[in-house]
Amino acid sequence: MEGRTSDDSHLVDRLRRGDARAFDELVTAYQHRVFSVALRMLRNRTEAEEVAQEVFLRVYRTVAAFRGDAKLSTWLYAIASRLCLNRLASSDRRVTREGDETLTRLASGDATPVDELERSELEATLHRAIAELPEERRIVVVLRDLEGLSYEEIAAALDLELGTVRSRLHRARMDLKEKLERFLP
Amino acid sequence: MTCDEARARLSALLDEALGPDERGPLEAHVATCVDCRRELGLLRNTVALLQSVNPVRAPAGFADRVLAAARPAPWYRRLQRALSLPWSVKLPLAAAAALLVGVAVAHLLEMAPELQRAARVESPSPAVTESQEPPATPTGAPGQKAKAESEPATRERREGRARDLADEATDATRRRDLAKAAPAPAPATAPERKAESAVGAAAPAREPAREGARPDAATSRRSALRTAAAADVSGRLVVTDREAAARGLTELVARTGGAEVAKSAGADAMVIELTIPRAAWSEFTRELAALGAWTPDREPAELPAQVRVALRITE
Repeated sequence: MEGRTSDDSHLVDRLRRGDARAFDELVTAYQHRVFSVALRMLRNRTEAEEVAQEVFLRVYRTVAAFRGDAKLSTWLYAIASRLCLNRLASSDRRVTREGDETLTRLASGDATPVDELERSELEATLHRAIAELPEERRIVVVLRDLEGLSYEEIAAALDLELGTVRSRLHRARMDLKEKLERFLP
Repeated sequence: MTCDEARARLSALLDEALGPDERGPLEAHVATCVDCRRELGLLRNTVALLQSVNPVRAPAGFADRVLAAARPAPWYRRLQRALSLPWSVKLPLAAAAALLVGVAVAHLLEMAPELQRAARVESPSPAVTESQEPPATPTGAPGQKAKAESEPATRERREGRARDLADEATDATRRRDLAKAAPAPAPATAPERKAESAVGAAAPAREPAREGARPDAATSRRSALRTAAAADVSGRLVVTDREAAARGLTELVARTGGAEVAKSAGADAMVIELTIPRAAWSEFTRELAALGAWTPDREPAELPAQVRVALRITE
C-alpha cells in the first residue's frame, strides 16, 4: 500500500492536535469525493448529503484513533463506503428515483444541443447501469473507475482480499459493457 | 491459457494490476485469440466511458453545514438563544427570582435552627467586634462572654425579621380577605390601606397570578437545561407546525418502542426529552427527518441501549 502523502500526513497531525483550520481544509479538499461516492451509491441527494456529513463528523470525532499506516483518503472512502452500504442494507430504506433525475442533469456545458442530448442520454444510461449493479460490485466500480482508487486502496477501504476486489470489479465491468453496448464504438 | 481464464483477467490487465507471471501468458493469448482481443477492446471502451462521467460536486454550502455541525455553539448558549427574552421581561424576572431567593432564605432560617447556628458561627456578629478588647488583650473570658451575650440578641433580631416577613404575608392575606368580605373600608384601616382597597380586589388578584407565573418560567427553563445536559443526543428540529410535529413525534416514539420523559414548551421552542431503544435508532432518525429539518448537535459514536434524546422543536 502507498504511504500517506506528506500533505495528508501533516493534515492528520494538525487534526489530531485539534487545529480548527485543519478540519476546514479537510472538508474543503474531500467534500466532492465523499459526496460523489454517497450519491453514486444512494442515488438520492438528501441521503447522500446526510451520509457525507456523517463521514466528516466521524473523522472529526475519531481522528485521534486513526491508524497512521493508511492514507487519509482511503480512510475517508472506507467510512463513506461503510456508511452507504449500511444504509442500503437497512430493510426499510425509502427507495426513491430522485437520484437518477439528478445525475442526468450533469450534461456537459459547451456542446451543441444534439451533442448534449446524446451526451445526456449516455449519462442517463450510464448512471442507470451503475445504479442497477449489485451494491457490493457497485461500490468497487465507483471507487475504481469513478474515483480512481488502486486495487490495494479499494481492498483496504472495503476490508477485502485483493482477489475479491479484482473479481468484483471485473464482473461489474462485464455487466456494464453489456448495458452500454450501443454506445461503444 | 483458455479463453475463460484469459477473460477473467482482462480487467486487471487494463488496470496494469497483474504480476509478470500472469501478464506474460495473458498477453500471449490475447495476441493470438481474436475473440479475446475484441472483448478486451470492448472492456477498454466501457472503462473509458465510465471514466468520462462528469464529476459530481457536493451541493453549495455543504462544507459550511459540516463545519457548523462539527463545531456547534455550546449547548447552554444555544438554549439561551432559544429561550432568550427581551430585557423588559428579563429584568422583572430576575428581580422576582432575587426576591424569591431572599424570602426562601429567610423562611429556611426560620424553619431550621441548626442553620441559624451555623450562620452565627461562620459570621462573627457585630456585637463581638464592638465589645472586643484592644488587640494586646488575649482572647479570654470577656470576649467570649460578649459573644455569648450577643447570641440571643442576634437570634432575636433574625427571628424578628423573619416574623416581620411572615406577618407581612399574613397581613396581605388578611387584607385580601377583608377586601373580599367587606367592600367598605374597615374603620381601623390606615389611609394607605384605604387607597389600596380603593383599587379593589383587582390588585391582589393580579398579584398572585404574576407571582405564580414567574417561578413557573424559571422552573421550566431550569428543567430544559437539565434535559439538555443529561441527553445522549441533542438537536434541533425545525418544523412548519410545532403541534403537528409534536403529535407526529409521539406516534413515532410509540412506534419505535421509546418513551417520552419530559416536555416543556417555551415561547418559541418546545423541548421534548425521549428515550429510544438503540435498535430502533436509525428508524427513529430517518422518520424524524420526515417530520422536519433535523440537525443533531451532539451524537456520540457509541449509543447506549436506551438513547436519551433532547429535541428542541422550533418553527
